[in-house]
Amino acid sequence: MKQPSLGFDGFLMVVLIALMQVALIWALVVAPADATQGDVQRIFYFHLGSIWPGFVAFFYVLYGSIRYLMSRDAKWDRRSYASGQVGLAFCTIVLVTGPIWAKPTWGVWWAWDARLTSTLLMWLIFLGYIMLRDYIDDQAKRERLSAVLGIIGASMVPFVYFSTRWFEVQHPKPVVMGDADSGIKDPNMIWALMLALAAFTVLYVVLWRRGTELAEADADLSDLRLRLSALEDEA
Amino acid sequence: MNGLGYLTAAYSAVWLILAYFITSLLLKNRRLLRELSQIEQRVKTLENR
Amino acid sequence: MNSNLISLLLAKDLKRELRSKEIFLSSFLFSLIILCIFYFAATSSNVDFAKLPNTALWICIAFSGTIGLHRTHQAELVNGCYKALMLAPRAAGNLYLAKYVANFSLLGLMSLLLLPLISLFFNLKFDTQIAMAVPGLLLGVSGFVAIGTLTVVITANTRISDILFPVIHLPLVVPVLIAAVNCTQIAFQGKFSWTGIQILCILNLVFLSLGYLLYEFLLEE
Repeated sequence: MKQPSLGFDGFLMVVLIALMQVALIWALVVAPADATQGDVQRIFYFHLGSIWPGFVAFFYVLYGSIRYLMSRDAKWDRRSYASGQVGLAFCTIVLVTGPIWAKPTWGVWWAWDARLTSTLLMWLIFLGYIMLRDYIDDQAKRERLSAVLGIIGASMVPFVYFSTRWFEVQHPKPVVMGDADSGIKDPNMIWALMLALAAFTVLYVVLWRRGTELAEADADLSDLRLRLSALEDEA
Repeated sequence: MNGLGYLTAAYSAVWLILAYFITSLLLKNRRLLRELSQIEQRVKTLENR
Repeated sequence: MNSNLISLLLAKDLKRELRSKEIFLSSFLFSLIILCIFYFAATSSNVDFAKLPNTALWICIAFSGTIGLHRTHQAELVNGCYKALMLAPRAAGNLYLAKYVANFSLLGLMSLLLLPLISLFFNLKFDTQIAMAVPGLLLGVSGFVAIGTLTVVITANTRISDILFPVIHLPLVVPVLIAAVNCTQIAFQGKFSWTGIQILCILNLVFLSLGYLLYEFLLEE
């Protein structure tokens, strides 16, 4: 089994913890409260902070799946899988914090707003990508089919976003906060947002590396188990 | 519920989801370590034969 | 060569459909039941039933189309028919197009048959309004099938294909469904939506090229 490279991961961990603290302080204390929404607006920093790595994760799934189909190297499959899992976790954060923010701002927990709808669909698409693996027994088949589904799913994400926006015009827009960045004017707000984005991007990288390592260790172990039982049969 | 209440709820949700995710990674890690020690055990018995 | 392959597969699928009437049973009769439930759900909640023909149409297509696609592929697996297709010395992309045309003909035909049914139940005038909905309807079904032809093969390899197929297929076709729903809604109001048709054409083009390129990887055994 490969030993985890503690040097780089340790460095990432230190950066992550430091960035997370600074981002929290900036988002909760330093940045001024929004003029119309008050403290509720502070949800936004971590809300947007997690949709960004969510997108990165899904585009990595597209990239990794293409690399897998081209090289047939199982490491690309594991990397895309870990990325999909982390992306799903970030997407869940967005889906949970979104309604908590929407209730005091829009007055309802859920509005069929383009952003909410498309995030929900993205979540469903990648839940399917993660679920598919559990139900295919053959390893090579699992990797190949997951890669194909990963490509289809990730290339559908832009269309999900465009179609929900193009056809939204017929519905009334939710009141306040028509657009996410409308209230961002104070430089400290921008700083808080940038710090949250940076902290969550590093968090994505850390989690993705851990996930990939685990998936690789899992594959190595099942390989070892097979070889061992073959040896035991011989003996 | 006032604004701060919603804010607390949202931030708790973020940490809960992340904690769930990290815990699932840790649990998987523990399962793998357990399997590794099982394999080591089997290798030892194989060597003793 | 290519058209030969398409006509062969189409003839085979149509013949089987005429014998078994699987799609007809699953789509058409199922749609009747959905319309029935729809009527009672709408009237009991004081929603104007007459305003919902488009909603009913696409709910019927989404549900019965999913069942229909899954059924046709399951029928292919019987007697190793699909195995034989995989062994055929043809380019995988062409096989995909042939399968797509066959599936599209069956589901497109079914969705066209739904139109008179909808206009009967919703008291729509059976004239140009209905005819204007046809392009949007067919393009919507086409996109639905273009993705479905891929996802049905992916999920057929799993242990629970009947559950996993809708779970994986439906979120992927939502963009095309949103566009098609808007397109037919405008048509039912007596107008023609060029932008809707254009968007549907683009989506179809993307889906078909994705399928053409990726089908090769689904055929390996």
